[in-house]
Amino acid sequence: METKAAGPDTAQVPAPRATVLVVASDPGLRLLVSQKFRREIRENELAFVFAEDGASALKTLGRNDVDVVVTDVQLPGTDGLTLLSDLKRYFPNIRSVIISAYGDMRTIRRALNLGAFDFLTKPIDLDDLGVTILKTVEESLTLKNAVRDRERLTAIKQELDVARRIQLSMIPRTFPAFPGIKEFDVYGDIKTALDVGGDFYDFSLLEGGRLYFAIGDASGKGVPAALFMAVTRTMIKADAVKGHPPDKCLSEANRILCMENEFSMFITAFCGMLDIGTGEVSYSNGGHKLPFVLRAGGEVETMPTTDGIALGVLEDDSLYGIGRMKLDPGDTIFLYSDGVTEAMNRNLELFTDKRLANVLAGADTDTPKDAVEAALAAVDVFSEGVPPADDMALLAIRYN
Amino acid sequence: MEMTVINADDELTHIKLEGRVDLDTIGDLDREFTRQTVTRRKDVIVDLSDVDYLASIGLRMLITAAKALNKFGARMVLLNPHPDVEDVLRTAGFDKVMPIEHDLESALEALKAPV
Repeated sequence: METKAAGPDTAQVPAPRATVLVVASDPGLRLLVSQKFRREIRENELAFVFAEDGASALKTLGRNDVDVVVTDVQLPGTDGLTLLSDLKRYFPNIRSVIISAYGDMRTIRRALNLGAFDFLTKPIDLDDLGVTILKTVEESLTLKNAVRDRERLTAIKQELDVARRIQLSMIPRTFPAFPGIKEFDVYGDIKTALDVGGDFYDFSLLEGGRLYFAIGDASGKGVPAALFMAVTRTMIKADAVKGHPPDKCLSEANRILCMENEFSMFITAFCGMLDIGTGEVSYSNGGHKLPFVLRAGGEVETMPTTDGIALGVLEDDSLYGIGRMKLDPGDTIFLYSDGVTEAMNRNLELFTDKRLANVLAGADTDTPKDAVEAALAAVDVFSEGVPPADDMALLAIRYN
Repeated sequence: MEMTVINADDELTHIKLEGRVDLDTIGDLDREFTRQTVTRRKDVIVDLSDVDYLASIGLRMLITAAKALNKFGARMVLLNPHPDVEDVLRTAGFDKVMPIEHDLESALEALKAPV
């Protein structure tokens, strides 16, 4: 829908809906179309440009955004059929109409074989001229839109590929991650949705026999979410490596994320440290789903809540509390993102935390890998083939 | 996804959201919501009782408006969200910026707290 703006600064004429190039040495044809399409030209539905022979037609095509070419077969120099084959080669998206003598079926056939969309015969019937040109214009615009849609789709797909690559490059995915270390086992997996979100998990063995672990979920989709996630993940980890406690890791990352965050992005993140000698865990939560603890005896507990808010929202270091708990041998910490519990089935029901807890309580979860795979399998069955709307990140750590 | 302005006077903007708020449905709602809330610079009550699902894009819309309002000395209170939606809001810690209340009276009371 176009609206005309009033005022003197509208000198720039908007582009017509479609442009038709008429190629004929006979000036009568120029007059004919100008009269026939008076209304369309006035309303900027159609614009016409003219050329007198094949060579100047090609020049005009190079300069103008032409949708349809109407050409006489008989032209000075190279004929209309040569122009058609040039069009086919150099401007494959332009639709063409050939004008030939009445009854010259041989030429018309050749023209159609060369890719002409339609034909007109001389003497030209005004109604036929109108219908043929309008029909060809519509066909051409449909084609143009299809091409544009495909290009746009390709661009979106490329962006999502980039996002997916950023995401996967951030996440440790080689298991077993620490061959030779007997104190714990760790396993994680991530399933990216079609329009990639910004989920991550992370772990790293720090000095002093401590295992750092984290999970998070950036708001939004695509490359912006992936980049926001990547920055956050690195900041939290950097503080952890420096030896800061988990609440400090989150509040530092939050402080930096709040400094320049004009798009109001935010990310939920949970991070913790496991002392692999004692089983003691300290952790802090920035608005993320609280992990489960799968006790060796089969009970499933939610980790005790601590103060916190998603990162990037409020700048205040006192927002992040610290929690402590102890793992006994055989206990597993199970971290997940809300893509898991908000997986949907055909009735738009959510998988929910409760179902996840039940699965973990009932399944054989001797190793972290078992636990992660049991959860993913249960979500898969539940969602009845409905593709995931959000990424799913899962990370499990078993203390031995 | 729909938005209705129930009341907009010198004291208060009272807005009701309905349906699912996610990437597919948000459309121009984001801009319109900001226009009706932040631009007016008055305290805001957002009735969420008929919102079935709030994705992160919706959270972002709410939190952005709430923070902008706070800068102008105004507040935003969320009214009566579904338990699932409330869980999402509280998990993310967003109730620290936008208090959650379950009846209009408490919502009006919560608006009186200093920003």
